[in-house]
Amino acid sequence: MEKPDRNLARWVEDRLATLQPAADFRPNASQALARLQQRDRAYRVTRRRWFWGGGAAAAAVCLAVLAMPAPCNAASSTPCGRPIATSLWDSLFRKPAESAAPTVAFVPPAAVPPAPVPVPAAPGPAAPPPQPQPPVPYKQSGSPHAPITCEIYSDYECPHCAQTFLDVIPLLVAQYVETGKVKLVHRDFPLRQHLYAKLAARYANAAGRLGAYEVVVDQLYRTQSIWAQSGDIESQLAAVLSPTVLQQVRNLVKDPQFDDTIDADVVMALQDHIDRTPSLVVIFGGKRQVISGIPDFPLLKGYLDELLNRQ
Amino acid sequence: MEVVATGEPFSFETVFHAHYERIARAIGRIVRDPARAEELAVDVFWKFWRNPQAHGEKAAGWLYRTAIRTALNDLRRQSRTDRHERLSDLVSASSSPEQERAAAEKQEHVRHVLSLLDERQAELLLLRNSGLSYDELASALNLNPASIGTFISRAQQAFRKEYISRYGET
Repeated sequence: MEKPDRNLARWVEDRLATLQPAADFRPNASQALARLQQRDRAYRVTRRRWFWGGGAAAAAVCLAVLAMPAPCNAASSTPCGRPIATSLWDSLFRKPAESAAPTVAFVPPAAVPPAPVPVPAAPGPAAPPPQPQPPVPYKQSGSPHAPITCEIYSDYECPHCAQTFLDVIPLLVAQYVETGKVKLVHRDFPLRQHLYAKLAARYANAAGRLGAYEVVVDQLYRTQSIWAQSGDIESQLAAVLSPTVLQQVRNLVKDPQFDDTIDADVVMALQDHIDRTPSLVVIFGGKRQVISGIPDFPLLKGYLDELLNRQ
Repeated sequence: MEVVATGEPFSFETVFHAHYERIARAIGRIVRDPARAEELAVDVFWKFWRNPQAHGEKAAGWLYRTAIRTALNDLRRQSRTDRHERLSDLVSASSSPEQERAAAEKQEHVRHVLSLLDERQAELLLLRNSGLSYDELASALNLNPASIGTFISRAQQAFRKEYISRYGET
């Protein structure tokens, strides 16, 4: 230990001794204690607010998740595009008859002649595969001799399908269909959880019979969020169809004998083991390549270009 | 220095009433402004209240150390931010008697030197000057009691060197 230098210590103490609080400084302990207690109350209030605020934030996140649109998946009971909360409610409280519905999307209408349903491979002699109906021309576009055929399975009430039809398909049509490289085929695959998807498909197909397929498909996807709420499809189509054509479409849709090709498309989808929308089947060199979900255009373009280079 | 007796249930109010005035005065020596000193003293006791680890035998040491540290931090902050304002305060006090003005100037010199010293050395000098024994200093600053004398001596040397280099022997 160093020997204390008394002179040094005194010199320093002398200077530090000059540090005196003001002569009239009288610390007020009771006032200080009151301020401390006030600060403690404020602290508790703030902490409570944070606690409840945190709880509210967590609840808001949960609600946001529940309000998110569910992916479109036929095998899932969660309806595509509808809030997850609604789907949860349906799954918890829906009627038993509904619960027993098949997981496959399509429910054939009573008025429509039953289409051949794919049967799992049964023991014994193999049953002949169902003969799919050839797609009616209004669902096709592009050269019939195009080296690649793209079949797009979609559901008019599926938000992902709407995004695909509004963002990807126009580019595909402009760069591949109109240039004779790809033949495009629309196929209907209305998911059972979508109340109005099949009705919308019938409207589109009826319009197709009358030469207005493309314009109606476009309008259905653009106004999907409106008519999907109530099923009032006609009021949206009235914006793009003349009253005469709209009446003709209406008559066709109401006609129980109207063959709208939905059944045939669903059969095709089942043969390709498609269970969600949108889905893409690329036919090239006699082979069918099923792609669940449709990639964004640059990826799809790369894939198609690679196939075309193989020629 | 009073401490909370071991084994007795902790009572914040007991500790508060035992130490508040001395803590406020210790801070007041460093920061000049009495109102500010009381604010900082309340801050110190608030930290003490929220820190159960500080409650116990070493409560007094903790309070003094935190008080001196808080006051020094405030002094350094003021030295950085409103030095011009403080100088002008001194000039404006020129109307007071010359002796009073000289004392105020000397206080300002000491405060300025303390704000320039190593934090630990400044704390050591001020705590020692507040009347803490070597053992209490060692406890408050977590130092080896056997080395306290050495630390104090070095702190004093550093203080004098800094003071003389700035203001001379006066």
